[in-house]
Amino acid sequence: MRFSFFAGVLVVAALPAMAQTPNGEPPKTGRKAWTAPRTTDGQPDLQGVWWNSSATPLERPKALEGKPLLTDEELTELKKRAARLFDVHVDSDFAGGDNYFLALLANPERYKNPNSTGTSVEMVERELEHRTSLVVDPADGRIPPLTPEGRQRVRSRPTPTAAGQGPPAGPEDLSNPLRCITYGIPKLGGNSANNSYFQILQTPGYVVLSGEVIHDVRLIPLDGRSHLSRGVRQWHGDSRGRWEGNTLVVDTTNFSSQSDFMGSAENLHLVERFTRTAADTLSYEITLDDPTTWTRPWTAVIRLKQTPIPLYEVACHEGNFYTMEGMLRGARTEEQRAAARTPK
Amino acid sequence: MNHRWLASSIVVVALLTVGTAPAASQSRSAANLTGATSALRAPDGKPSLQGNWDFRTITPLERPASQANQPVLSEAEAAAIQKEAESRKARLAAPSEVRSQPRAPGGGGVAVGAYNDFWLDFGTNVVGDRRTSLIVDPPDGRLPALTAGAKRQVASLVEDLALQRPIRVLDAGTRADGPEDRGLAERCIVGFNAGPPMMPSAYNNHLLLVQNSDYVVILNEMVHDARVIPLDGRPHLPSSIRQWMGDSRGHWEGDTLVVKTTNFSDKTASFNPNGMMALGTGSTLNLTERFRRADQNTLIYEFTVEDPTTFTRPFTAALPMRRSDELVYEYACHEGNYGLFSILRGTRAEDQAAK
Repeated sequence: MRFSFFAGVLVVAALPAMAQTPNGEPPKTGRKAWTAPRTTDGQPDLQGVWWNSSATPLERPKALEGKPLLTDEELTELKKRAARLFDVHVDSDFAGGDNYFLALLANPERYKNPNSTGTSVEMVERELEHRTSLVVDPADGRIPPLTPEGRQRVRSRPTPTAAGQGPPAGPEDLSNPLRCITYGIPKLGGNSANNSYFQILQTPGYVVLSGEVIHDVRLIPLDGRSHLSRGVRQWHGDSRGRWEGNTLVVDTTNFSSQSDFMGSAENLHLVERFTRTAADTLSYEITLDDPTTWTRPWTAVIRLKQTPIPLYEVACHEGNFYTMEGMLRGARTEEQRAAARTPK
Repeated sequence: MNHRWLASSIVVVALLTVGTAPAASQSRSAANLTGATSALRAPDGKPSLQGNWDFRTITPLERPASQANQPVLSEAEAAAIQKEAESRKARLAAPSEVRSQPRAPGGGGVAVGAYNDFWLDFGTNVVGDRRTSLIVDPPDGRLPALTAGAKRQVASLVEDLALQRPIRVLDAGTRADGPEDRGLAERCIVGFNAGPPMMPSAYNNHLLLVQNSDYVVILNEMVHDARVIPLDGRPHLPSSIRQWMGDSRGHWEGDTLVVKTTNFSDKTASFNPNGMMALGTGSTLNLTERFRRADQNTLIYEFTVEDPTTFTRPFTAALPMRRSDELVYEYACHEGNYGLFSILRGTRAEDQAAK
């Protein structure tokens, strides 16, 4: 379900934003608490296709410093701006990730981004909520500062375009998604505004997280086995799941030195918590701990919505090879030109 | 496996090779497949097929001409073949001769060398019921004749042959005008043994199957392709939606899980008897796979290929899988895989030289 393809469907499926507390939970009401259904073997049932359409930025924008929640009036105003700014008849550029929310705050006549490769027509519906950041800890809604080592790593990490890094010498200078190796975990989903769907399946002893983007599948054992030995490193690390009440807790270590979540790699200890808070709502909480990258651990909460839309097959390198070949060939051509200009 | 893929996933291969010491595989040979015990049950009462399964075997797809009238090996014959396979494996596991002399330039597309046997992991077992072919129907154990006009591609690892595009073989290919001239597994689009249908091949002949009442998930180690198969009776995708691994729907017939797959892309073969051969096109393929747990350690996997535009009759192969305690590791097919890039670059260099 690529964004361009399903934009129409998503409009219909979008649900009204509900008031929330900063941790992403719906506010307490007098009603009896909703209880999660159980699978046949007694696990809380988290199954289904889940979709992340959140418009909330990962970090709280500076302009909203000290303001974890929007008022109802502010939320209404942002929705109005969204309807105008990204209406199909307004000549706006594609606003992915946090750019969407930032564009609503800035509220220009049209949204223009020189790095954008598409128009607003290709965007999915994004769901605004009261929260002003996905980050819930630290309390300022900002990712903690990088350590000096982390800063160095972020500077040298491969980027989607290698822009600012000089031309790519080889495929390894390009990002893992561009190489079709992996889109990585955890997935922030809606913030990349593209294919933010995954399916959860549960069987006795395993939970399956099947992502639509490049058919990355994680089969996570729940039987309490220990992690792989430290020497075995994988792009997606090594995940072990367990239940804490109604919450599925997935603990992941053993990432490869080439894994890359915002610059964090082999030292990342990732804890993901999945809690179904309503029939159609899943709270997805991620805690990232890597003292070699960030000065303290941090946590973000994403709300996922259930959707009846099925996942389709993605063969990442089908036809995509030309992107990489073109980039590498372009870089070599530039080198040859530069060499030709150099006096002998 | 393709010889041009030296750099690909060496770690995974090494782990597998280390993890499958001969003793582990030998002890599971010659399981009695006819005397099925009561199947292990999932919580919903269906047979439990869940677990890691190993489908290595040295039994060929088609019955060799030399065994034309012998559908089943005697115990002594099977033991002798397995012993020979083991000793061959031990012999080839010895250090290779070092040949570091570079080939003369302008080799004209001739292969430059390949993996030695260290990398290969076909196992050393014939299938448990000692058949001389994986094909059980037709009764002669051979692929049925092709229809007149059936598409057929046969590639070579030694040189690039002229093949009609699109390329549907898994390994090797035709010229290298672009990536589409190479096999589908070489391009990391599909695995070379994951199918569907699954067929034993050079390595990574392992899968992890998990199930619940509504879905079965088959994760093939090669190349971490997972099929998520609904069991709820929903219809197939509309015929306009075509996928590399088709569109699978499962249901139970007694204690047998039946998976029907259609909607294959026209760019796949109806059947790849091996990596270098492609018969027909997936667009007209109706594939049926059957999974039945025969005992604690054995999963009988059977598949039937029906494609009247390619084969003059349907055929069925049976491949018993053995339960494995080994882990299925992560596979990133394009990681370090310079093969495709170098093939294309080499061919462009030859193009230049020819001008």
